[in-house]
Amino acid sequence: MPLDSNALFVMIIISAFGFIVMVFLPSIIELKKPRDKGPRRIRKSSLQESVARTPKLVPVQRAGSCTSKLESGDLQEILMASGVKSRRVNKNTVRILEGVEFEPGVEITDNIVVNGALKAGARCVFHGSVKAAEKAVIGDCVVIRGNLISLGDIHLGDDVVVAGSVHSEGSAKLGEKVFVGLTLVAGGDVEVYESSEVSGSILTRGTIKVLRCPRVDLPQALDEIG
Amino acid sequence: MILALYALFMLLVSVMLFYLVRHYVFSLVALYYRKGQPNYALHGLSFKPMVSVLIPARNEETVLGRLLYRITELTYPKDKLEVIVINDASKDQTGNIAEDFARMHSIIKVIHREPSFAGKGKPSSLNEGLKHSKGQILICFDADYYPPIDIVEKLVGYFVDPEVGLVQGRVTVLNESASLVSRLAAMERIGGYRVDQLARDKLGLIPQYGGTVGAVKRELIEALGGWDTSILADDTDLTFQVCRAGFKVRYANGAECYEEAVSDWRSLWRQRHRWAKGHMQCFFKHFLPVLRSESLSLREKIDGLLLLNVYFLPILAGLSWLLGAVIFFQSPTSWFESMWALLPVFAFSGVGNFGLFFEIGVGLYLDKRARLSWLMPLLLLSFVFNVLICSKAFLDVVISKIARNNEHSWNKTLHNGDEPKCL
Repeated sequence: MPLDSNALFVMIIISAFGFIVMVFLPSIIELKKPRDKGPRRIRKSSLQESVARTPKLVPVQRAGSCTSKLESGDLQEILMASGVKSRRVNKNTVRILEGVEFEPGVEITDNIVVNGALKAGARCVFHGSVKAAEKAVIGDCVVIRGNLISLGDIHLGDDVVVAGSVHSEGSAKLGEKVFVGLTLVAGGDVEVYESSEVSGSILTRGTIKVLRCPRVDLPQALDEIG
Repeated sequence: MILALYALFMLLVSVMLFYLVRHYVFSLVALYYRKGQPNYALHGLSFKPMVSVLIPARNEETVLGRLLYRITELTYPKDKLEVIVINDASKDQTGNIAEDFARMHSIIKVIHREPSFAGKGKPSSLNEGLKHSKGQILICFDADYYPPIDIVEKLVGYFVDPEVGLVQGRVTVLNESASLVSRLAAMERIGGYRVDQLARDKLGLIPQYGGTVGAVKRELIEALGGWDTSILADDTDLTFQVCRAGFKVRYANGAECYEEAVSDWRSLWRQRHRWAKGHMQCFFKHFLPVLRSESLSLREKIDGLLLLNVYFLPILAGLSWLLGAVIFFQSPTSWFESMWALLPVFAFSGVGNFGLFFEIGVGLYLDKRARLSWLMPLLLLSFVFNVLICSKAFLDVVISKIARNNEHSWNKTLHNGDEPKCL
């Protein structure tokens, strides 16, 4: 028997009412007899628990051979001369819109944020912090007075000084006699020479490999022994 | 005429569906996206700049003692920490409680504001605190908050990144069981922080500073001229000022802090009305500058504009309900064919900061709060409530714009100081 439109309308109204009751029924039950175990418990001091391993590294004598003449100037002018696009994002920070390679001995006063890979030649001095969206390769004897952050891997050459923290989303390799003033955090493996010093903790999701120091060139060493 | 109504209706529904897709994407990101921006919280273990904690307090005798006691337990080195309570001419025991703590703990200082300068809202108190503070990083807590002992480290760690200017922690409702209103608020917080803020942070968009459990660089706030006292939503205003100044806002999900949510509809109305009005003020203040900003990327601009527009959505939703009803009864086709006009009634789940069904559902799942999800249908109540609040706030803003009246009264939220077992 075909339904006329009035009967269909009534049926839809009844169905809609049933649907609404069905939807709200769990809410009514939970209101009457609350079984939710709220509020959520906030964990106590989860940050300290994260410090799983902190290898003790041998404090080192600072290398004295890393002084040289530095080329200082306005960062954007230096970059413009090299054809590298950059933009000042705030008073202290310059964003470099592509990967960049700094010549040895350059001195930079601003914080820099690099949208690509960063390569800093030997003896560069960064008075602010340095952040790279890709791999960061820091040459020997470089000084970074702020923090060093890379969303890729980090390679620090010998005698590098980072006064602040080092953060790598990938692996981190530290050369000989590197000094990190605060914590080193890495998403991947960490390789560090025993002659290096990390004042804070080394925190990684990967492994920490401590390498012997000094590096020995075996054939040359055998020659010396005679 | 009916065609014009149809066109407007379709436009409104399209806007709502756009937000629906947005929230759906955020939910998926919170569930499955493991990459995103780096988590710098661990750097807080060794990166210890001087920090000033600012606590604006006006008639907070029921909750201030609890917060100050907790502050004295913080693990951050005491020689790098100062706590400034700004007593905004309270008429209760707030000032005495703060003074008692200040006598016992040298890190706590109290500023008593004269009644003639007081009562002008939180931004005004924070500016007073800024003058008396010396920290490189400023952290704000409302008096009803209860932080974990390592919250300072968790927030401060993010400032190792030179781009970061503002960090927001997660807010969790403490007094959930007090009433239906507080339980609904708890669900909104879970969706808003655990999913929405987290996803926006992971995607490199603009997480929103919530005005408390947040840290800001001192040099930045000074460069911005302090907190804008003419804006009721100082948090949203600061978010956009920071972004426009070329800094990033980050969300620290691990920096979780309890708050006391409102527990009755009247208080909810007052609080949300202030938020809505303030947010709308921010819309008018920042819409064009965000659009023109050179500091923001295209996706940050889009996210920023969507965020600024969020408190208009309940109004648009309410309007589309009305239009839907008109079309339903005026349509020349049969009533069955006009059922689609009811679409906006069901589309509310994707709209604005309120009816985030996906986000709240996913947040409850991630927090393992399956039983609380039984209350999700009741979010409809909250949404209808918000339609009314936002409409009223919109009218107020329009009237104050026409009358060129920049004076806005600050409706303070009252707190009960209920202490659940979990403390």
